[in-house]
Amino acid sequence: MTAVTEEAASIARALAHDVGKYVARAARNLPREGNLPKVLIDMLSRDLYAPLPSGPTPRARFDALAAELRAAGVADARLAEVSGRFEGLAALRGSLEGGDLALIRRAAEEALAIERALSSLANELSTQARGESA
Amino acid sequence: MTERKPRLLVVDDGDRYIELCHALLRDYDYATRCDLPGPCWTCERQLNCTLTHAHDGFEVDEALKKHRDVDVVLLDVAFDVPVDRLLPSTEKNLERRKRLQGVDILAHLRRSRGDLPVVLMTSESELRFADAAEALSVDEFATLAGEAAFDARALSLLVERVLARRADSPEAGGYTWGASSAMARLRRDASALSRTSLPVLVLGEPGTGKSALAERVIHPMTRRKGPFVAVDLASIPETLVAAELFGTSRGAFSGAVDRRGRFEEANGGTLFLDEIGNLPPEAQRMLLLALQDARITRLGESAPRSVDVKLVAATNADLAGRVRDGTFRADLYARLNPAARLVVPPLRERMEDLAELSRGLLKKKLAAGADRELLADYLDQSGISGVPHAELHLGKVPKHVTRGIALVLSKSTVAELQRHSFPGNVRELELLVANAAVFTLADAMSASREGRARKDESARILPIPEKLMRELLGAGSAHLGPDRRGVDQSTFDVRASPTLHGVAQDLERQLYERMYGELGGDFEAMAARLLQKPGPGGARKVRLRFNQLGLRVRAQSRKI
Repeated sequence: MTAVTEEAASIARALAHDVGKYVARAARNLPREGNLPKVLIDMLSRDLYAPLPSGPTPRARFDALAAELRAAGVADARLAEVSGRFEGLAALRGSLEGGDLALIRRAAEEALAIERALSSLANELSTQARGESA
Repeated sequence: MTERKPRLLVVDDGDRYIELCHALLRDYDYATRCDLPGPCWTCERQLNCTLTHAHDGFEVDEALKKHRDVDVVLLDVAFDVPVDRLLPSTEKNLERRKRLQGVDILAHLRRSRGDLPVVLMTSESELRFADAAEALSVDEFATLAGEAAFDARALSLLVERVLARRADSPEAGGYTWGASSAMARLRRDASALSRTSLPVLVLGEPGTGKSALAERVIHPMTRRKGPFVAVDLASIPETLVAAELFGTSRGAFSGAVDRRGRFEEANGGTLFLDEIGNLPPEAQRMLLLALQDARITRLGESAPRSVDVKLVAATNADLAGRVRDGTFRADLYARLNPAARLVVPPLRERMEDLAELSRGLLKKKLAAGADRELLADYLDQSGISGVPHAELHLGKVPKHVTRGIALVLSKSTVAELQRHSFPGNVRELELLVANAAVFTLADAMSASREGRARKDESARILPIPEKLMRELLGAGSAHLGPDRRGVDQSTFDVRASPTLHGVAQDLERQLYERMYGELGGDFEAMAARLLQKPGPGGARKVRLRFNQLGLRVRAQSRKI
């Protein structure tokens, strides 16, 4: 296995922060049962598709950082998994805006799965990078 | 019922987290009726929102100037903002500076507010402790939210925990119980009475902390979510007391307007009436009715209004005596539950708590405001890094000070403090500690400016000059005057006894105990005070009677 650099770990942390944290913002706070308030559905929709505070959409930010991570020598399966989930979310966009409750919940689950994957990747790479530098 | 909701300041570079807090925390006891971005304090909608926000360190200053009553700060760690919006830092790497800007904001905040709880909104993996070890490890009021940062329910629970911890802290004026048996008894009784709907009568000398007991102990135990309303009856003109307590309706008297009284303001919470002995007769009648029926009637109205209030009344006066001489209603006195009264002991009867109290009072003094700035300036000038912090050491110079500075009282000063009678009780001690700390720091600053002080580890230890303490102790007692300092102006707690002899003996015991404390255990001085012609055996007689009354000599006794 290629040694993990601090630079790669830093990119992974940026992925968890800039992408994972933001896409999961409203998703993790949706009520588990019953109807969903419109304010939360709107927030979820913005989390998934609207530009991030830094400019690009979550997916574009993910693509850019994932490319940087691969260039830094990290080819982790979770990157492909997250890419696939973003594609799934793109397909759900119309239904989400139409207010279909089941599909909204599915989109929220996808968002949480993205957050989990990116968070675990960042943790692992940070630990490995610290191990390398120690 | 008016609930006191926690006031939050959310600090994040973007609006997303702020928006989330506004949208979600409303379900968890926060008034968050707004979902607009932008500083709340410029909002024209006036929704009484208990959430406000800031986007960088500069806006934090602005927000805290405007909202001094913020309870908790929720602070992001990474700030992607223009360089001119970043706080000054020694970090050269811009990316790292932005990534840890929240830690710089925390350090900046600590210069002025040591007591303000801050929740760092980040998971542990994002903020490595090593990055901010100094800023975090020395801060009792900074908490890492971890996963709770992004979960409204977990976050609300975290905020609740943080607030509860703060309420108990000396910095926030938490109640110091100490280790004396009198305070242990008070704690037990206060706890029992707080859980009932009964009124509570608190007795004690001035400065013993009666209002603190009401606000910080009794109120939080039952009426935490309701308001705490305190009224000092000694400061209100007699003719206005009834209007102040029960409210008025327009036309009740010339110039009267529709106005809620303090009873209505305290609805759902606690009403603390200090100096209840000063209540004029008409207001006594109205208070009795309010306690009997849980209803009050505004002046000028005929229809009563229901109120749900826990009443705590305090006095230094002999209420039973006032009942006897007819100036206080016997039925109202009975309603105030005198059998279960709480008696806050004077400081001289709990001298074993002196060290703990002094340390807590110093922390409180230096927690915020100009005094904290003074401490921060001294640390800067002496080249001491880290969060402003000072510990009080009594009678022992610490070998190493790893955090902030140590203010040290010499052994002889501590002995002098223990001999002091503290007629002004904890309030006097509070002023004494505050003055000692501030004068010592100011002198050390001058010495440092004039190049008379060393800028190394020794700058961390500041002895409080003995001369300064003697002056402060003398000044603290001087206001009473040499011939008024003593028992003649004190009151006694009259307790019923099966025989009159028992009552008299109890009063005598209180007199001896108090005089013994005030005169530092000097039996000759006690004899001179008690006997017209004490003679050579006077002190021995007094000592004998002292023993007969079941009192014991403490270590501080100097004579006989």
